[in-house]
Amino acid sequence: MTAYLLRRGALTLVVLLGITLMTFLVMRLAPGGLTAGATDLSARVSAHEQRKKFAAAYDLDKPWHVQYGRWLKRLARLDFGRSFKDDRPVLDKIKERLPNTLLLNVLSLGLVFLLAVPLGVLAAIKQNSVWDRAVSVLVFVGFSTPTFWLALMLMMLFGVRLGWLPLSGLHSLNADEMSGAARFADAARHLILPVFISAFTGLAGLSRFVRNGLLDVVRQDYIRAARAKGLPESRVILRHALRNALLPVVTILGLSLPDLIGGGFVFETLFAFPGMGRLGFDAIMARDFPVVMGVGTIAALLTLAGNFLADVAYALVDPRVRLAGKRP
Amino acid sequence: MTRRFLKNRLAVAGAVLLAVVALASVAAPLLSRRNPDEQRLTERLRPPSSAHWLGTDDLGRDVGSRLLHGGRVSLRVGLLAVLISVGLGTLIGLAAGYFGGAVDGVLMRAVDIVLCFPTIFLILMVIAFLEPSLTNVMAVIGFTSWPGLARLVRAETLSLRERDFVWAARGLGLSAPRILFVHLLPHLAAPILVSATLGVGGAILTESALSFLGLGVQPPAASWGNVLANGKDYLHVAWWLSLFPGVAILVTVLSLNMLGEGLRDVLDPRERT
Repeated sequence: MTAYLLRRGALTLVVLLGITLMTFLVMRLAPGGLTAGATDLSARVSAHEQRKKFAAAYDLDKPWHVQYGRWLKRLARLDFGRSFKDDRPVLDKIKERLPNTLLLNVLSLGLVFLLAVPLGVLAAIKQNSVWDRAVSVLVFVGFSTPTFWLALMLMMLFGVRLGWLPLSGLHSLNADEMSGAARFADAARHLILPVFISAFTGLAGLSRFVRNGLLDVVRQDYIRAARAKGLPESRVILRHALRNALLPVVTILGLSLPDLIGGGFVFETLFAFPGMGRLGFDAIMARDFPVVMGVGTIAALLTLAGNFLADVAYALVDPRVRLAGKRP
Repeated sequence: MTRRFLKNRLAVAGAVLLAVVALASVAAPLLSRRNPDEQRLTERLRPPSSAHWLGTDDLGRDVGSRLLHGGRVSLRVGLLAVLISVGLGTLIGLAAGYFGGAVDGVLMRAVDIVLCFPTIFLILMVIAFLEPSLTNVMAVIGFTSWPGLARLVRAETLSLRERDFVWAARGLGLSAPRILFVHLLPHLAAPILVSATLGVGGAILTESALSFLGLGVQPPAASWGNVLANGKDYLHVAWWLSLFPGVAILVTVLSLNMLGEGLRDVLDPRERT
């Protein structure tokens, strides 16, 4: 296990360096240079001053490898610099938004698991039945639906036509005057549509994954043995087969992280949801590079951490992985 | 092979649906009764009727004509973007799988790095720096969506390179490019074709999302994404403006996904479940 951890850790470190290098290089590509965005008239200092400050802060007068080295040093202290727009530290802005995005993603992942596992199991044990067909239709439609369009349609139905749910944001305008319970209910109402939309695509992917995984496992000898010794079918499926079929889900979870954060870019913007995705989108549109670099790096770091944890968890539960040396 | 394809209902249904969409887009100038950009301010925001089957938009343009013409844009972006990503993914996967060692290490770490970023974020960053245009959208989608295929091709190449026919080719002293492209590539055609078909659907979804955000195809040119973006502002009064473009995207991507999954069954019987 230690050897496996070391190997994985070293690889993760290499990728980590690559991520920072890539963010750094993409920013170099910006036409007009990094300071082009530092021209906001509402800022407290003049554009020229801002540019000078920024050029000094990012060592723009030095060769690129020195710039990169210094940027990396600041990064290690989680210092992303200050936003061009309001001169606030980027880290503070991210800290405000990150909990909202995490809340949204945790809720939608919970929903996905709650629905996808039973659906996948149902489709697998009644293979080729009406249920199986229904799940496949759901899977195909789920993969083919533009989420922003679905979001728009649901907003139109529940927000505009029926008026049941609020259209945007996380809190109502008068949220500050509400009592604790009312505030909570208010936030929950705001979260219904975003959570559902965010869960929709994941639902399709995971239910298919559970179905196919279970179908693979069910054909194996130890399942035949479990059946042969007369265990009831429900026990065979739930206790023996499902456990193994769900193993790879750990990895899927890690791999789906960037999409969860990335999906946010479009529909967080649509719902005016105060999350990381919208922060990133607004920053990109405003060419607020320190924020863009911060959001990009944090998103990639979260993904990397997620993947690493998923790999470790997988190795913990499945001895084949840590003993086999290299994974295929 | 053809018979297996015809017997696969999923693949056939997908192919027929796709053919309808593609034909309608190609024949858009013949099918649409109005120029998609023609504005008639006296006919603003009309609901679907016999004169305008899918209604009109805020400038009195015929939504049906705009969607037909928008289909040409979406399909073209999808195809060309996938051409780029399949080319890159295949080359990188082949090289990594066949040469192994340091080449493999470097290339696969590059894949890991690209996969760590949310694709849409990378695309948005690059597009925001460049001018949003059709060509840029295609190029950016193509250059950011290759890693998945590269992994797949690498895994297949790894198992193929130890097979006897590859050893034989090496024994004959054939050059690496010749072994890769003449002897290995044909064995990879099936997974590449499947992944390309599914990829076109993904690229169309991405393009529509970009156009929806105003970073893709620029008005007045019609694309499904920007017609939808326009409809967003009239949710209260004109449901047809946002419903139909979404249906067009959904049907097209659905047909590609059905065809892709169907092809997977047809071409690779091992994976049948």
